[in-house]
Amino acid sequence: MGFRSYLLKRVLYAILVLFVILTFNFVLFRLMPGDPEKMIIDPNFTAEAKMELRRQYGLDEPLFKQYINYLSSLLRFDMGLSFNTRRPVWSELKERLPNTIVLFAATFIGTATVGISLGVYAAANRDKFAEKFVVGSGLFAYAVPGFFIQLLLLLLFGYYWPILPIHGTMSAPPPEGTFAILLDRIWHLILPAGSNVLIGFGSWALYTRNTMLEALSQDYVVTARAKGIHRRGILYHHALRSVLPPIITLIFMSLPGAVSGAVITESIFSWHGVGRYLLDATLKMDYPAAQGAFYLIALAVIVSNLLADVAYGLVDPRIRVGAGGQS
Amino acid sequence: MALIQVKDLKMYYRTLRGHVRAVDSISFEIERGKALGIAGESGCGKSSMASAILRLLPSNGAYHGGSIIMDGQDLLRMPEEQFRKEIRWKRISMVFQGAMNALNPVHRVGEQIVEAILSHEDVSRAEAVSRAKELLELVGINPDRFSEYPHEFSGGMKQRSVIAMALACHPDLIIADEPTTALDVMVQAQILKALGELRERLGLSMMLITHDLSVIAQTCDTVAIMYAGKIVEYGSVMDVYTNPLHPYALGLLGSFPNIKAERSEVRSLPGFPPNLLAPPSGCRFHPRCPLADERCRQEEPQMQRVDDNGRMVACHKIDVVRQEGDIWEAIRPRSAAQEERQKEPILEVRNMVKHFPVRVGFLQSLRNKEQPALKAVDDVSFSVYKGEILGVVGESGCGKTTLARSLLRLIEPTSGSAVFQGSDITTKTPDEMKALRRKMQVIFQDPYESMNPRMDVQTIISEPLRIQGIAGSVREAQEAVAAALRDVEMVPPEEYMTRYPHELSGGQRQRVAVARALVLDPDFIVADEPVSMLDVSIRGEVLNLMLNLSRSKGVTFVYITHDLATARHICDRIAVMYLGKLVELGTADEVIGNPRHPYTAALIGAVFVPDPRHRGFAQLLRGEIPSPVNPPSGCRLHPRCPYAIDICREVEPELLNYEGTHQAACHRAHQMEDSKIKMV
Repeated sequence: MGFRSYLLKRVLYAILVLFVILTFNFVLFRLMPGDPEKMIIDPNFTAEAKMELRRQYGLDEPLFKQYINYLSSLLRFDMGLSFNTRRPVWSELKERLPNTIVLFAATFIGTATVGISLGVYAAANRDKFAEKFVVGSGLFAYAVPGFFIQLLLLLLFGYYWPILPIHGTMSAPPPEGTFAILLDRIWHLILPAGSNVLIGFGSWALYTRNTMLEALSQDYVVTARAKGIHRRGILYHHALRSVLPPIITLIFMSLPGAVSGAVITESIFSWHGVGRYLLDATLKMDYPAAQGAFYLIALAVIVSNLLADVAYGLVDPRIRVGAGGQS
Repeated sequence: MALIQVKDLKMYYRTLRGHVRAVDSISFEIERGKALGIAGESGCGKSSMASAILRLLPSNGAYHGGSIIMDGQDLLRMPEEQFRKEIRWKRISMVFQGAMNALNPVHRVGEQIVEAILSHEDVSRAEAVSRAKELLELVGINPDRFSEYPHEFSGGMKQRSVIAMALACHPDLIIADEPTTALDVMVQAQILKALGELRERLGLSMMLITHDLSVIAQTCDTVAIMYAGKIVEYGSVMDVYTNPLHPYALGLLGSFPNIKAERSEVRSLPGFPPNLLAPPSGCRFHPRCPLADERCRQEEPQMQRVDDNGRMVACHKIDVVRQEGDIWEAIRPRSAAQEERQKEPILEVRNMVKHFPVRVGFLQSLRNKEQPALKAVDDVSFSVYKGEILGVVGESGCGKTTLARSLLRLIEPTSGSAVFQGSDITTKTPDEMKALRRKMQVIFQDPYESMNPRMDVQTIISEPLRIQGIAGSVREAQEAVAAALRDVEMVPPEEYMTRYPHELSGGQRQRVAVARALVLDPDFIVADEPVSMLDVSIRGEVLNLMLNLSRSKGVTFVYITHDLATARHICDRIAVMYLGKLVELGTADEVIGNPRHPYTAALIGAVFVPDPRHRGFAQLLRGEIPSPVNPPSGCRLHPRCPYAIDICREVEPELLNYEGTHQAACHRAHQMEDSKIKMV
C-alpha cells in the first residue's frame, strides 16, 4: 500500500466522520431543552406572525427536510441567520475567526516550542537539577485545572499588578499606525496565549522527556555513539528524530482539546473569537449560530486529525507501508 | 606489536545495592589481522567489556583502573572529543548485539552509513554515498536498496548492512557483540561466512563476543573464556578447544553437542554464575567446581602461563585437570537400545492445518475475493509413540510452535485431527478438554514469562491441581508439590516451595516449569524451546531432566527446537518442518546421519561445530525463509534449493517412505545419497 492509497483512505475516513458529526450536531441541538420560538419570537405575536417567522427560518418543515436543508446549506457555508442578531452567521464567524486563529496559533506554537525544548533539555540532563525542575513544574502545571490558573492570572494582572490587559483583542480606541496596532494586538495576546502555554507545556515536556529517554537507551542510539557522532547529532538527529512520530501525533491529537480549551480561555479573557461566540450562542438558544460555530470547530478538529495522519505517515516510514509490508 | 592491548581493565556499575564489578582485572591483546573470541555466559561481563573498550559505558558505569593501549596511546586517558573523532568507528567499530535494533528505524539504511563516513572524514556527500553503495555491495546487498528503510530489510540484510556500516571508515578492529545470536541458523551461517571473508580480504582484526563456543571455533584465532568478570582461560583456539585446562572451560566446551561427530556425552555444570554484587571468595568458580578445595575457597588464582604458546589459565588445579581430563558428570545420549520399543502411538496427528487470517484494509478486502491467510501449519500428519522424545525442528517461521499449540488445542486448529490415546481432541467439549489436560501438559520457552511473579513456587506448581479440582487437602497438595520438585531434582523441596520466581536462577525456574507440568502426572508433554533462553551450562541439566523423565516415568515428549544438535542428542525421532510442511521424519540417526531432504541437509550444514579442527561452511541455502502468507508453488523450498528441477516448481512432493521409518517429501530424495551436502 503506497502513501497515496493511505492518504485516500484517511480522507475518506475524515469525510465520513464529518458527516456523522454534522448529523449529531443537528440532532443534539434539537434535543436540547428550550424552544427557539420562545427565545426569538415575542409571545405576543399573532399566530400568523409566528407562522411567518417559523417559515422564514425553515422551522415549519418536517425534521428530515430540515436536516437535508441543513446539510446542503452547510456545504455552501450558508449557516443561516442568527436568531439573535438577524445577521448571517457565516459573516459573524468570519469576523471572529482571525482572532481565534491568532490565539490558537500563538498558544500552539508557544506550547509546543516550550514543552518540547524543555523535554529534550530534561532528557539530555538526566538526573540533574534541570531535569527534576522540568519534571516537577511540568507535573504541577499538568495537575492544576487550567481555568484555575487563568483565574489566578486574571486576579494578579487585573487587580494586584495591572500591567497587562486582561480582556479584549485590542485597546478600545486602537492606536495610530500599523506597527502600533500590531504591537497592541500582541500586547493583548500575551495573557491569554501565555496562560495557555503555562497550562499546556507540562504534558508536552513530560511526554517528550519520557520518549526521549526511551529513545536514548535504544540500541541505535548506542550505535550512533559508537559511530562517533557528536552529542548534538545523537540528541537531535537520532533520538529526537525517532520520537517525532509519537510527538507529532500528540500535537495533532491535542488540537481538539485545545479547541475546547479555547472556549474557556476566550470567555475568561473576553476574547472576541469563535469559542466565545459558540458559548454565547448556546446560552441564547441561537441554533444557527451555535451550529455554525460547532461546524467550524468540528471541521477544525477533523482537519487536524487528518493532518496528524498525514504528518505521521511522512515522519514514520513504516506507516506508509501498512499491513501488507514486511516488518 | 599487538594492535590493541588491554591491561588489567576494571569497571563496575553503581547500583542501589552496591557496586557490580562486571569487568575485573582483564588483560588480553589482539594482533593485527587476527580474531579474538570472548566466550562466556550471560552476566560474565563480556558485553560490558566491549562497551568499555569504546568508552560507551552507561551513566552508572565507571572505570576502576587499567589501560587500553593502541599505538602507544592509552585510550582511557584520551580526551573525549579526540577519542570520539579519532578512535570511534575510525579505528574501532562495533557490530552490536541484536543488530535488528542497531539501525535507526526513521533513517534510510544508506544514509546511516553515509553519516558514519561524513562524521569522520572530510569527503563530499556524493563521495560518501558512492562509498556506502560500494560497502553495501561488498556485504552482498544490492546497492539500489541504499534508500530503503530498515523495516524493508529482512533480518539477515539488516545484519549485513550493520556490518557494512562497521566497515565504513576502514577501521583496524571490529568488535562484534553476539553478531548472529538473534538470527536463524541458516542466516547465521551466511553472515559469519561473509564476515570471515571480509576480514580476510581487508586484513581486519576482530573481537567476537558470544556465548556460542561453536561460533568462536569456526571464526577466531585466539579465545578468552570469561567467568564472573574474569578471564579464566586464554590461548589459541586450537589449544583451548582440544585441551581445555580450566574446569569451567572444560565443562562449557563439553556442554555443546557436536552434530557432525559421533554422538558423544554432553556435560552439565550444576549451579549458576554468581551475583557480581558479592562474588565468591577465592576462585569465583569454586562453588560450582567439583575439584574445589580449601585453597580455592581462600586464595584467588592468578592467570599463569602454562606453555610456550601463550596459553594462560587461572586455576589452582591445572595438574588435576591434566591428569583426570574429564571431571564433569556426563549426560548419556539416547542409545539405540532404547529405540527398540513397542511402537504404540499416544498421539496421531492427521492433516493438521492452522491458518491465521491476515488483516487487510477495507479497500483491499473489496479487491480480493479470497481472504488471505498465514499458513502456519499446512496439512501435517505424524504419530508420536508412547515413551519417546520426538523432536520438531525448523527455523523460526516454519510453524513448529503453532503446531505445538495446535496439538494441545491451546489454539483451535483450522482443520485436521489429533487423536490422543484413542480419542480426537479437536472435537472435545471444553469440559472434556479440561479433563484431558491432566494427561497433556506444556513447558514454554521463557521461564520468566510463563510464571506469575506474584506466586511462590508452591502456588505455581499446585495451581494445576486446584484447577483440576484434585488438590484434596492442603497437606496432600503440598506433598504432591514436594514430589514434583523431587522429580526435577530440586531437593530439599521445602527450601524452594516458598520462594518466588525472581529468587530462582534461570535453570531453576525452568525446572519449576517442568515440575508444574509433572504435578498432574501427565503422559504427554510438549516442550517448546525449553532451553533456548537458558545459559549454555544449564541447558544440559534441563535436557538431562527430560531424558531421565522419559526413561524413568515413560513420559512422552514433543521437543520443539531450532537446535538440531540438542535434538539429535536427546530425541528418538526427529521431524523437520519448513514453511508449515513436514519435510522429513525419521529416527534421529536417520535424519541427521543421512538426510533425505535438501532442507534438512542444509540445516545440518549450517550448524556450527564447536571444534576448530573441522572448519568450513557447507553449501548454504540462498536467501531467507519466505512469508507463509504466499508460500511458493510446488515444493515450498524450490526457490532456495540448489537441486530444484522443473517438477519441484509445479508439483508438491508427498511425504514418502525410504529406508526403515525414514520419510521425506522431496522429488529428488532418492538421489540425495550421491549428491548429499557435505562439509567443504
